[in-house]
Amino acid sequence: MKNHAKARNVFFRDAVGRFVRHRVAMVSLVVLVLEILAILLLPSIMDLDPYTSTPGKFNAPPDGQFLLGTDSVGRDVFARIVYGGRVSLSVGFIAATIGALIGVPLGLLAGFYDGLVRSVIMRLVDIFMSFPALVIQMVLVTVLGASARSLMLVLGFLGWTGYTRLVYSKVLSVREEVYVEAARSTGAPNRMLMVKYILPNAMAPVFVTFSFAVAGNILAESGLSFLGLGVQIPTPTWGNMIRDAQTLSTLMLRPWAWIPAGIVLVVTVVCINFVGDGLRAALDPKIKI
Amino acid sequence: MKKYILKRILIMIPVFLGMTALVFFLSNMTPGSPVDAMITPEMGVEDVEQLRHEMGLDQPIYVQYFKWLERLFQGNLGYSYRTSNPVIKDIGERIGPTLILTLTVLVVSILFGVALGVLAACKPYSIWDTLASGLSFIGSSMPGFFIALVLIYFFSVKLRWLPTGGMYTSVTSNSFSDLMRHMVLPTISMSLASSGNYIRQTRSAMLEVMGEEYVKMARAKGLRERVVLYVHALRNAMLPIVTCIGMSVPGLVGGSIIIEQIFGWPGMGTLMVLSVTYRDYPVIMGITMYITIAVLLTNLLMDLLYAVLDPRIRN
Repeated sequence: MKNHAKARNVFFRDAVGRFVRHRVAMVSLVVLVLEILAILLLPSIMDLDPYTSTPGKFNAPPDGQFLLGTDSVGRDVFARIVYGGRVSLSVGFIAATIGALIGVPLGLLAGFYDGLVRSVIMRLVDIFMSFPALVIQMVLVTVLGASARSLMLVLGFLGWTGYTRLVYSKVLSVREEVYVEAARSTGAPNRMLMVKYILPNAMAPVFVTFSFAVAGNILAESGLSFLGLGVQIPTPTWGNMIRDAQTLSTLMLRPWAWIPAGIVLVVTVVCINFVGDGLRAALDPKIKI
Repeated sequence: MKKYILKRILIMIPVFLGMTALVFFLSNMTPGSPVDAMITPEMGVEDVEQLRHEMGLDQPIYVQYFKWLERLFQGNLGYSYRTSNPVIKDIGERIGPTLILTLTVLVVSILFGVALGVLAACKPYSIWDTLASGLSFIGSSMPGFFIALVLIYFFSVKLRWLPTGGMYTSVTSNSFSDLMRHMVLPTISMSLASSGNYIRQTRSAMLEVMGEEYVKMARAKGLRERVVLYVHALRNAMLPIVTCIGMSVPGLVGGSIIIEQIFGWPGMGTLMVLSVTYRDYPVIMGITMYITIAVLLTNLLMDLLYAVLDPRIRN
């Protein structure tokens, strides 16, 4: 028993070591942590108000009072980026969690049971992956009403296929391992085999998929909000802030109203993807990227 | 081979039914009925009921869906709530522009992605490799709409080289060169994201193939490096690239919805956004159906191409 625990720690330590050596991933992680801290703490340090418009300060360029200027109705752009980050990031994380909660069990079942269960689940995956997600997202968000909460649900319930596919293929190889056979020979029931012996050994791709899913969901949320179908004004998100640039005068004359939001969005998504890449290198040393 | 094709075609039927049924039921779950928009103050309750009956809205949803399917096979997709035109006509006008844009993007991103991928695989871990991999990574992490806006800001607003949107400058100037000028920015903003996958796929497929015996053999025969690369190696690395083309189509369709909206491109994407805002369900259903068919046909085409390229699959 003691040996077993020790072996696990070695794997964990090696993985952390590999992640730390992945320099881009480490830098990205630091940037993300700083960003999350800023989003969480700045409102209590500074006096930020993303909702109230300041009279006589419509479309004001950046100055001492407003770090990044104001938008067309005189709201503080910097405050909106900070509060928008809360919305965008929580949509990304919660939707990715919902996706994992659906996709991981399905992948486990499809990998463990042959026959009908597998073909139904994997066929469903094929169907969901072959269809442009944005079309269904647009219809669903309209049905549920455009809000951050329905975006989380929609993106989560449509975003399980990646988990299922990866867990499925991992389970296919893990279930042939000797320790699974040993557990089976001691009379362990199927449920125990799956949850206790197979799942922990098939979890590595889940973390990688999770980080890519967070990035993908943030992009999807910003895309829908950009189209005006996602999170609705006055609630700020990076996507609906960039939407302001669809009016030509904002695009041309007031870059502060949309470029900072776009840069923050791009940096966030790129960093999350790099962290995912680092995780992949760390958890699966056989894959060379 | 016949059996293979038949099997592929049979699989398409449940996917088509599933997809259209899903969107049909979802759009019918929306609070508020399309009749609400047509009610005028003079109408009584009976008139409203009459209207609901005429539109078939008083029947259970599954009956409505089968009616929709039945009409579909007669070539009737119903009438748009917004314009009162037949849906087929409204969508028909939009298919051309969307096809022009998406096919151009597909070709550009395949050519660009495969070229860069080969370049990266030739000299792994060189500066070219780092550049190509970096570009593919950043490209797929960038939201297309932000790239599009930045491109408009620089090339249309600051430098005034290219138009900000639309398909032609005016109705009369529908020349090919005018169309090209309008296509540049939408194509770049969409291709940047979609070529990333091709770069990655080509690079890894080429790296794998380069170690094979027949590539060594080709080199040993003294063939020029270019011939070895493009004739012997790339041809065998095509399989994963073909898979990648099939998988990229849904993303391409999704991307074109947003990009069309930004550039005011008169295609199905702008129509889709308009119809979703107006809750114009016949049109939403029509577009969904066209997209489903397009996706299924490309998948079929890719499967067939796969079988042509790899004889082992035919059995």
